[in-house]
Amino acid sequence: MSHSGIPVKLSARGLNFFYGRHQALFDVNLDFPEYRITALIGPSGCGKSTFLRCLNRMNDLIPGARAQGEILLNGENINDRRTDVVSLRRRVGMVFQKPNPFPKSVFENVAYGLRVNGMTKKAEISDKVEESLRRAAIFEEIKDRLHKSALSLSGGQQQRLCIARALAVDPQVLLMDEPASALDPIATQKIEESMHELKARLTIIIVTHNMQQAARVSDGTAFFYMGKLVESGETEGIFTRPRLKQTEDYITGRFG
Amino acid sequence: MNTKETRLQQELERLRAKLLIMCASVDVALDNASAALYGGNPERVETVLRGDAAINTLEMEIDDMALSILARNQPVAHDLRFVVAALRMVLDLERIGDEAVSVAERALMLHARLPAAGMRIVNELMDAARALYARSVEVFRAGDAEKAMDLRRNEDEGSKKEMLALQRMVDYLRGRDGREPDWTPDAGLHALLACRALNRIRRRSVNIAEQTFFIARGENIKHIRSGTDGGKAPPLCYALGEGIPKA
Repeated sequence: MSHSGIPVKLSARGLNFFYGRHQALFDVNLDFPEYRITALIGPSGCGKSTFLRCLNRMNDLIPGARAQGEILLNGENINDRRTDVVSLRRRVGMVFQKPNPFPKSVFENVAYGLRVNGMTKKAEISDKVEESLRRAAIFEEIKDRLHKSALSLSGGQQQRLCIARALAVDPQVLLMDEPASALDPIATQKIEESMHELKARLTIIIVTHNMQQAARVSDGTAFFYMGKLVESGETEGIFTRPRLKQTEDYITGRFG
Repeated sequence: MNTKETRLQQELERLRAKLLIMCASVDVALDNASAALYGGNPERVETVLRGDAAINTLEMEIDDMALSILARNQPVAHDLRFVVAALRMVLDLERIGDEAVSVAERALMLHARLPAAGMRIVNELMDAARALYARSVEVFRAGDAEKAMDLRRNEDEGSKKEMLALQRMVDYLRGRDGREPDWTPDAGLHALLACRALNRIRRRSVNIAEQTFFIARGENIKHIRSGTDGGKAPPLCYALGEGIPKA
C-alpha cells in the first residue's frame, strides 16, 4: 500500500544505476500507486529517463549499464536474473519521445505485438486492434485508413498509434518518455485526454519537461536532481506547496 | 542549486510593487479621512474623494497584471499563491479605500454636529482601524507568516475593544451614559454608519494578514477558528443588543 492507501503497482527500492563507472541514480526509493499517473520531473541529465528505462529494463540494451537494488512489479523483483524480459516489457509497455511506428500499415502496427504473443485468429486480432485504437482515442480519426501506411499519419496520430500498439498487449504499466514533446498543442491535448481515460485500467509513469503538463495530467509527481529523488508526493501539493526549496526553485523556473 | 531571476520573477516583482503602491494609496486615504474627522477640514475630504479614483485604477491595473501572469506564465508554488493572493488582496484594498471615502463623506457633518463625547469614540475607532491596517501592510511587506498569524490571533482582543467602544457609542446615543442627549438624529445615524465603515476596515485589514500567511505557508486560515468567536470580530449589530463582552 502507498501512503495514500492505494495499492502499489510498481516500486523502486534502493535503486542505484551505473553507466560503466558513472553513477546515474543514487538510492532511489519510490512507489507508484496503481491506476494513477505519476510524473517524473527534473532538469536534463537528472536521471529521470534513466530511471524510467530501469522500470522495464530498457537499459539492459546499453553496454556497460548495470542496476543495483530492487524494482518490484506486483511485489516481484524485475531485476532478478530469472525475469523474462520480453514478458516484462509486455507487462510494462513504453511510449517514446518521438513516434516510432513500424513502416507498415496502421492495422499491422497494432496487430504486430498480438501476433508475437501468439494470437492467430483474425477476428480476435481485428477486435483487439480496434479496441486498442479506441483506447488511444484515435480510432474514429483513422478508421478508414487502417490499411494505409502508418507513416502517412500526422505526428500526433503516429504517437497515439504507438500508444495503441503498446496497449494492444494489455500492459499493466505504461511508461511514457516525453510523449508529447514533439507534438502541437492539439495533439498534446489528445494524448493527455487519452491518458486520463487510460488510467482507469493502467498505471502510467510519464517523464516530462513541461511543468504545466505534469501539473495537468499527473496524480503524483517525483522531482529528480543529479540522480537523486529530491521530493515526491501528490501533484497538487508539489505544485502549490512544495516542501523543499530545490523543488520550488525548479518548478518555478528559478533553477539555473 | 543556483537560482536566477526569470522574466516571471521580474513580473511578480512589478506586481508586488504595484500592490505596495496601492497599499500606500489606501493608507493616504485613511490618513486624510482621519484628518477630516479630527479637524473637519474639507480639503482633506476632497483629497480622499479624488484619491479613490486612483485607487480604483490601481485595482484594475493589478487585476490585469495578475491575469496576464496567470495566462502567460502559469506560475506554480509560491509564485501561484502570490498571484492568487494579489487578486484577493486587491479587492480588500479597494474596499478599504471605499470605506475611507464613506468616513470622509460624513466627516464634515460629524465634526460639525456630533458632540465631543460621540466624536471621541469615532476617532478612537478610526485610530484603531488605521493602526490595524498599517500593521497588516507591514506584515505583507515583510512577508512574515508568524506576524500575520499573531495579528490574526490578537484580533480577538482588538475586536472586543471595538465592541466596547461601540457599546459606549450606543449607550451615548441612547442617553444611557447619564447625560441628556445632545445629538441630532442625522448625526447619530452618520456616527453609526462611520463606525460600521471603520469596522469593515478592520476586518479587511485582517484579510490582508491572512493572505500574507497564505502566500508564505500555502494554508488558508480565513475560516480557521482561533478563539471562541472564531478569531473574527463579532458582527457590529451585537453592539446594539445584549451579550457584549465586558471589559
